[in-house]
Amino acid sequence: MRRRRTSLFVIVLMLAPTLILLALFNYYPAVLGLSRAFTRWETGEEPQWIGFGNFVAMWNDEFLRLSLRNLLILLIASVLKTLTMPLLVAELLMSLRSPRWQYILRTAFILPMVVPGMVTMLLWSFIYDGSVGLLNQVLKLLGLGALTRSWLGESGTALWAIIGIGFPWAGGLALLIYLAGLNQISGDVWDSCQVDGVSGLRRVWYVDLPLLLPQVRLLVILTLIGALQDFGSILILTGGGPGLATHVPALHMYFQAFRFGHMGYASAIGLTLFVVIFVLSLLNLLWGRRLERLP
Amino acid sequence: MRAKRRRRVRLSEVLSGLVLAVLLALSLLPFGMMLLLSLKTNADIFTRFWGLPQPARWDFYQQAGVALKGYLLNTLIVTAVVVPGVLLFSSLAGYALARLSFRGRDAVFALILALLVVPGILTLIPTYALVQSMGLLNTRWALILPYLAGGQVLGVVLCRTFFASLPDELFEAMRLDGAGDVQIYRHLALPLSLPTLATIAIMTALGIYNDYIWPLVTISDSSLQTFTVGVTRFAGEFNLDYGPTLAGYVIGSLPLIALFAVGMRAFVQGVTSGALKA
Repeated sequence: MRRRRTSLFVIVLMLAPTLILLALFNYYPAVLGLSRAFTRWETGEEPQWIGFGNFVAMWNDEFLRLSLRNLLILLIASVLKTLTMPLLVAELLMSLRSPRWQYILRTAFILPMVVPGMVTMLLWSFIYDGSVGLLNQVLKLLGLGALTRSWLGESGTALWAIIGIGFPWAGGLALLIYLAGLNQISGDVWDSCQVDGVSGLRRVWYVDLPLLLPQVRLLVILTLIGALQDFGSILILTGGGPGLATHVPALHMYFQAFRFGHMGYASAIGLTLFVVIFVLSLLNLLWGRRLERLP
Repeated sequence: MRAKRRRRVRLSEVLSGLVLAVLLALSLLPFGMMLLLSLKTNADIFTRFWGLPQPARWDFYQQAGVALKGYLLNTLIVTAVVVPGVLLFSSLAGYALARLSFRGRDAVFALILALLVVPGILTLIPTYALVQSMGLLNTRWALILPYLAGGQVLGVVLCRTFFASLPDELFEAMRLDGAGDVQIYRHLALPLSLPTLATIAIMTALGIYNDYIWPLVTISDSSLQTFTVGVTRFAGEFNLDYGPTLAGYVIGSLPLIALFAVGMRAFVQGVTSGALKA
């Protein structure tokens, strides 16, 4: 069938708003982020090309080195959180036979997602509060009053308190993604499992988990990307302290740029984080390719 | 044998239910306590933490509402401008990229897809410098324009995918009736894509509502500030009274809960498809 050609004018008109906005606020800053990392650029001054100077400075930056340890702990913890509790809840939800209860409980579990992120953060800073915080109150109730403390205020506990946010880490995006994955496999596969007498943990380990690998892959990379970039919550809860107990590279970037005005140096930190994210995404893609080739 | 087997299954189901109930209670406990303590005075909290409020101070909600009203209104204004803009522009572009043929179409789409891998951490500082050089710092435009652009990426991808999935016959039929592309977009593509548009709208609104760093660095005037930044500062107005502060957190949660209640399906679809955008 012959297709009537749309006039070029209409096409340009339809694409123009999107492309102009993206060019100005997405492509241009991305290119700028790449190039300015190689300049000495203080707030309000003209950037000067200094090659890899910023990266050399990063290498010698004591604060940055210390923040890497925290970041590593946070990354491992966030991946572990994503891989355990939401999967457990998803499996338990699937094991319920009443669709009604499944639906009600699923909705209840994702409810905390709907609370604004900032409210959740502030609520947790209240939970960890040294005087009337919920955590201390629970400990007193359990007769563990000796353990009470200002959880975010002591360098020994601050990082762990940040990891504890959202305990028991059961809901959220991970739960939705696991449920979507389990819903795709359940039916026939599970029926034949039952016929073969494979049930319970054995089924989860030998059948569900291998089939859920694409979801696991997606969640691992999303969690890593999110955790590498997130500094808003730490800024609110501890400001990186006490001392450097919760300092992370992204927060270092923020302070360098918006407190000290070292825009070029901060851009170099941003670029480095981008490269790390990019490499992780590529590895994730390769992992996916390998999975596809498996029999 | 049969009966025994069934009973065993039932037992495991009860066990699942129990574990789920405990986990759910733990997950919701902070929010339950937020509601309870929001009605209590500091004295009441310090002496009887777990007790019911005596008396319930509903006026805390009024105090908190007054303090937060301006911030919430600012967020609402920005959202009300950005969301329709994102829907209009991304559906237009998505339509052109899915249903019109022109040279370089795939290249344009690939270029937009590439933005999915550009993280915010790379563009934060240069975008700030750009907005500063445009003289937009501390104006609503500093929020509106970058949000409008940022929302396009996922918007165009979702719209194009949806429009491309529609059967050709629908479009041919309207073409044979003499309809032009603008009419087809307006009367066929747009009405059919309402669920997709709802998903995009919810994701965009959610992103704006939850964004903290960008308004923090670009807006210095508290009369223009958004809720997410405002709520971190408003507690100071109550001399460290927990009640009204927590009441404010509850009030600030209501808009998103309302959004969730209205469009749960679109919400669930949105966050799962939004997972694409890394």
